[in-house]
Amino acid sequence: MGQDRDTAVETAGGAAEERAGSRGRGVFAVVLLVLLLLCAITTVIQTLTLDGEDEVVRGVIENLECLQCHTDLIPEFDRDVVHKPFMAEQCTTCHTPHGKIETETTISGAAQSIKRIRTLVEWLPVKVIVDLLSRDGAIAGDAGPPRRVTETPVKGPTSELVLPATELCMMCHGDMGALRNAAYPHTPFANGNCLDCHDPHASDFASMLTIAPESLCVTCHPMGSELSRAQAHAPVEGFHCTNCHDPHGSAYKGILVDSQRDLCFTCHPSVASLSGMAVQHGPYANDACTDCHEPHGSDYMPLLRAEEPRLCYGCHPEIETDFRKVSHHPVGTVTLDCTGCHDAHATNYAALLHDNDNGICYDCHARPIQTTYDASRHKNTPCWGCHTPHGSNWGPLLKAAQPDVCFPCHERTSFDDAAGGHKNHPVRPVYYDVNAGSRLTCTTTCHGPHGTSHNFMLRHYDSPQDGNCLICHAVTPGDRVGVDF
Amino acid sequence: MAVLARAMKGRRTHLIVSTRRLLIGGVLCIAMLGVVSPAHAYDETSTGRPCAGCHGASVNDPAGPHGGYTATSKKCATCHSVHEAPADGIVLLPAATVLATCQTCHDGTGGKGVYGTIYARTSQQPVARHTMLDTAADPITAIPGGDGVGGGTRTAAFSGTAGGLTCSDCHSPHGSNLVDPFTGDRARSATDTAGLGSLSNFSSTRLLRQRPTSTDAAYASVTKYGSDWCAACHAGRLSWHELYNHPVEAATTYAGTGSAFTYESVARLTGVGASTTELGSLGRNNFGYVMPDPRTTQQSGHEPICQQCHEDARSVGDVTARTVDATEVFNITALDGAAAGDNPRYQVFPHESDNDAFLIETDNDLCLNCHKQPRG
Repeated sequence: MGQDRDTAVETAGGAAEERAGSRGRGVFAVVLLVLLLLCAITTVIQTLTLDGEDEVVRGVIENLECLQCHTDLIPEFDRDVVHKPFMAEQCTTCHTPHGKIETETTISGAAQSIKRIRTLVEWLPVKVIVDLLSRDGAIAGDAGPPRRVTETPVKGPTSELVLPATELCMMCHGDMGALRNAAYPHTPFANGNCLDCHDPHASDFASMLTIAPESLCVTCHPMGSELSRAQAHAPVEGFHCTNCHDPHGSAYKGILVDSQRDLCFTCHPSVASLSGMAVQHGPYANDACTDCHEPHGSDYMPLLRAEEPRLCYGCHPEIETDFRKVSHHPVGTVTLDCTGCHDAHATNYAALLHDNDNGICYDCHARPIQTTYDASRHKNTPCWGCHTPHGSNWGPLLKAAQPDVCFPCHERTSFDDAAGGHKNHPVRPVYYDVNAGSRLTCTTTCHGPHGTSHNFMLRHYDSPQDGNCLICHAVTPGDRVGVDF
Repeated sequence: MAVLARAMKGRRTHLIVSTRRLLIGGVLCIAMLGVVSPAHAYDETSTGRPCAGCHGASVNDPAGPHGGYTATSKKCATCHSVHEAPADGIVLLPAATVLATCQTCHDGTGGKGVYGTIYARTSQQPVARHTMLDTAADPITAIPGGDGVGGGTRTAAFSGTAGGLTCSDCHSPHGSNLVDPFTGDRARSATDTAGLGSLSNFSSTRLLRQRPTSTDAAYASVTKYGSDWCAACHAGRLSWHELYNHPVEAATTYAGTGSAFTYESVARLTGVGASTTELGSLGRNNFGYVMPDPRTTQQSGHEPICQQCHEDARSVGDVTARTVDATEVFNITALDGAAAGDNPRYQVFPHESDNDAFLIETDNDLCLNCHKQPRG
């Protein structure tokens, strides 16, 4: 039992100690919290009230001598951004003092008389002697009659900067000096005309710009016409010029902050991801985004320098010639442009096509062609085996006139009676296809080059079923092609 | 009998020259293998190969490859090659002329064709023939009796390669605008719907055009084979002309009641020894080639049609007996009249004949078919 009581007492004592420790930690935490709160309040109050005033007061005090005359600068201290030398140092950091104190000393008695006489005889050759006497008098004056000295500040005729204006800023901002030798410096910066953009004392805008950044650049580089176009580049629209341009100088044309590719990739990562592809458009590969794109504003989406296909024709004039041929892809219409087939940046397929082999053609022509073509004997012949993609003098976009376009693969003598060797059914358009109502070719009525459900790629019937012949030759009356000739 | 004798003589001659013909045929066969040209010549009766092997389902079609075209029939390619036809062929046919093209099948092989049949069987050139050279050198353009007014010869522009007469002037190879079928003498496999070897069906158009020599609508369209069909070319041979022709019945000149006789509808004896007639086809028996005396009511007011005098040479009896001689009765035992005892023997009218002017009999034998022996 006694042992149990001891144990109970020990247990009660331990609990008391634990409560005491916990209470101590709580008090410590409260004290710490109060201290932090006081610090925060102090900081806020100082920020809101005291600091600014202090800076202003300090600045005025530092430059009190200058501000006696340049009172107009006093409000500058109250602006959002104050140039450090102006604020924390002295005006003479940049300016040579051009004011002076004129001191007037009034001497009583003989000294005053001597001064007057000296004034009168100042023109006399004896001036030197008078001066000596005067000096002696001055010396003697220290112990002589009482005199009254009056000092009056007087503004001098000129004020000078401590260095030429084009060099002055570099005195402190020397780290920017290298930019003056950049391949593409900003002209004001290159000429040392920093004040074209910056206020030397204080500004309400970052970097001490003379006016709001969204207004500053356009004072020299008006963007009104760019912004009035159908599409404005977002940074231009927001006047974030320095997103792309370095205001001082750059190694990149246009004073860009980076190469065109890398700069554009910053905001357009989807284009950046194309840079690893096998086939790249020349301007894209050669860091010339602006060959195609207008960086500020454009009437042609997406910020193109001209509408398609005119933009493309600028570098590919021969393609324009093709598109003017009798048979041509309807490029330039509302439904098809160059980029309908080609990627303007990069792809993994030849000619910057969006897809491989016939896939690019099937993007549009899949429904009527793909199923039969891929099941036909022509399936291993790419579309461009027979067709040219842009324009041709022989429709539909054929590389050569029919039947010549067939003969690279099909022995001419077996199909063209003009070749000699055999007679063949006419296949040349000098004949008329009464069924198709057009000039006769291999494919007008007989064969479907994209595949059919019949043998020999016949359009209508299997060979040798007579339906193939009767389509035209059952025309009655038909002295020309009818069977009763 | 005379015809039979000539036939037998021809057969002997045929045996003598058979070795030479075999040699020539062999050389021709080798030559044909050496050039790109379909070899259509084929004797369906001797090779044992079914016709359908080449002609497909059309073999049992009465029109054969010459008509009855449907979208799914397979006939055009029998004659035409859309690609790789012979270089000298016309309209994608296997030969340079229509005649030569037709002869790729109808070349008298085995003496069972059209032109060349008589020579093949007799080694004698036929006495009469509708000559079709179909060459530029000597096109046949003159039609004897073609002048419908003066009865003389007229010149026509035929459809041969050089403007001369050719097969397609009378026949439509595509079976277009044909005369009505008629029961002729000739039996060929393609017209035999019951199958090769059967002689049950002799009714056919023979692919004869309704307007032989021309598709010009100015020429009358003849739907019934008979004198009018012949007169499409030989108009100067009709009756009632300023020239005195033997009376011939044709719809264009017929002035009687009812219809003029045609090949398919003439008054013919009702049987051997009969003195009565019935209206029926001139073909497939000799009952229409004699006219009993006195004439029957059906014959009254009618004249004979061209084919009653001009047809395959045959022996038909005479009017004196008022009947067809039982020994000379129409008797075909094989296709194309190929059997030696067949009457008629060659079945190639009007292409060639061993009688002058395609007469069925010669001399008085012909006249006595209708006219009694003059008295005194």
